[in-house]
Amino acid sequence: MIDVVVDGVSFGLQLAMLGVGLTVVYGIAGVLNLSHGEWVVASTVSASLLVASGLHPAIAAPAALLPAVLLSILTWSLLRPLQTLGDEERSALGLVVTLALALALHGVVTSQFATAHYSLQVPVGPLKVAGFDLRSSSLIASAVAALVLASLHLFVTRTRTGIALRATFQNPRLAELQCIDVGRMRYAAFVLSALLAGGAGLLLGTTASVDPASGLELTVLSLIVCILGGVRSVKGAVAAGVALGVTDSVLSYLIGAYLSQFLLLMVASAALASRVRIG
Amino acid sequence: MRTRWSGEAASAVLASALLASSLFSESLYALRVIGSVAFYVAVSQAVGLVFAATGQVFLAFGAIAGTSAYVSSLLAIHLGLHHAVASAAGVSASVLLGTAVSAAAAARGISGTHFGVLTLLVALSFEVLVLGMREVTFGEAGFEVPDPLAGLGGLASARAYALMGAALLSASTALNLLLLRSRVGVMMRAVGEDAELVRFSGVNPVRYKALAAALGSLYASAAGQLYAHSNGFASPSMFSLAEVDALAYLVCIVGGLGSAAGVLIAGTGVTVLKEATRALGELQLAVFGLSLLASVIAWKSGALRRTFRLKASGRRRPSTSSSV
Repeated sequence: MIDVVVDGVSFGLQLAMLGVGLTVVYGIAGVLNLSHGEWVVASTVSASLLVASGLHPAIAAPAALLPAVLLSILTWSLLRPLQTLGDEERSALGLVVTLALALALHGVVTSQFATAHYSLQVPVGPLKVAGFDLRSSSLIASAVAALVLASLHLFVTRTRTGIALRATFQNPRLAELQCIDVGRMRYAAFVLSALLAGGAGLLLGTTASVDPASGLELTVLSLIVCILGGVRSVKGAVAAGVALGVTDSVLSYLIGAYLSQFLLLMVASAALASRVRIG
Repeated sequence: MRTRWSGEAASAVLASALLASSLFSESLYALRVIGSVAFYVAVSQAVGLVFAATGQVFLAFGAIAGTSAYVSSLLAIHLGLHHAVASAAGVSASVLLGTAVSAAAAARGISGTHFGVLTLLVALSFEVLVLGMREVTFGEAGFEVPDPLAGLGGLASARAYALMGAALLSASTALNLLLLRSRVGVMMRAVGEDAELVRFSGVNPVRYKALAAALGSLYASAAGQLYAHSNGFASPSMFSLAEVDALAYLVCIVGGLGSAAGVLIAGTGVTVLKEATRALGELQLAVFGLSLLASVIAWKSGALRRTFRLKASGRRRPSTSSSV
């Protein structure tokens, strides 16, 4: 059971990275990005293909972030014209635009890479801790994800760009009055979100195989994390991600993947309807 | 008024053309395509009605249609219920689901993106439930829908479902047009424009939002059952977000929100697009996504509004970036 919880924490930290990315974009650009999961898939598939072609993983991993970043630039260029609309219209059309983009990407990726699952092997055997065999890939992925989230915290609290991002997140009008280029911050939010999504995709590839058709599923998990985290709270998204990852792993182990997924969807719906937040 | 009546006349002509095609076509494939047109038009009318009445993106009409088709067929298969009773149970379950989601969200003040996500979660819950309970629902592979008209023979049965589909969309179009002119319709549009203002005038907007969702769910659930019968088959992918809701939004945006004739024309066009791209396999989704993207861009730039002389459903307001 301990190994299930460790796997859950690892998965949860990866979900936290996804949820934080989605939260940052929602907080700064006002759009819930339904194509978020496709960015993850793009990175995992790219990394897997690059490694398979003989490239060293240390070069392949950062290179695989590029497709996610390019997709984020494409997404933002499609969403930017909507910024002139009112809140309701912008969020509604933003959902439709990102859904359309998700379908287009899903169609292209599944038609080209449908038959295989993609993963990145970590050449280290299981580790024995207190009598339990723990997967080293889960431990490494957890450490890297925690490092990324800690670095993100330092970035948004200690750097000028990070502070400007936070200011835009909290109040764009006041940020503009402080001479912060809000347009650039929105652009930066999309790139940051893509880096987090791509990074999570690489970590997912090391702990499990990624199905090219799983983009929508990953988007929904990110949405659940974002919602349970309070939609505009980065700390909440981290807490919700870890809670969701552990719950999903334990429930899948106890009652099976489908029932676990259904229960999580029900909990997320109920949380959304009753405005419950974690963190 | 001239434009309004010409729109109604165009709708009547299009619906009559579908009815006539159902009556005289000798091709099983053509009759099934008519059934698909009826399905997409009815679901698009549901999407348009809820968007007009609540200003919200309802992403679960595929699941609503699927619930109706699954509940009615599975009750007939597993419990041996009479088709009429099973069908009524399917429609009731779907209408109840759609109304409950909308009413609960409206009562809790959930709107905009949150409402879209809530309906997305409902849509995915349906899919997960169908995939997970494979002993009951037959899982991803789907199942053959029992045909109460099987005794008529293949072509006659397909013709009957095509006729029912054409009759359904004629009825839903007429009901929508009547609703637009009624007091209830005016109130629905007022709620869609500004629910708070309506509340301040002493009217409960939750009631009108729930009514719009109930009517939309009624169209979608009836269309879902006819679609399954018309194809003789039901599977989760037939009622998925990508296959149904995304295409319904494409129909609404291209055809024009609130334009009865536009939705009929666009619904026919989208069904033809779907049939024409069937051979593309998975790449078909990319075609749907790109078409939806192009339609939103064209709608935003005003090209579609100019082409179809439509008025945008939403009010254009100055930039409100500060409220993000």
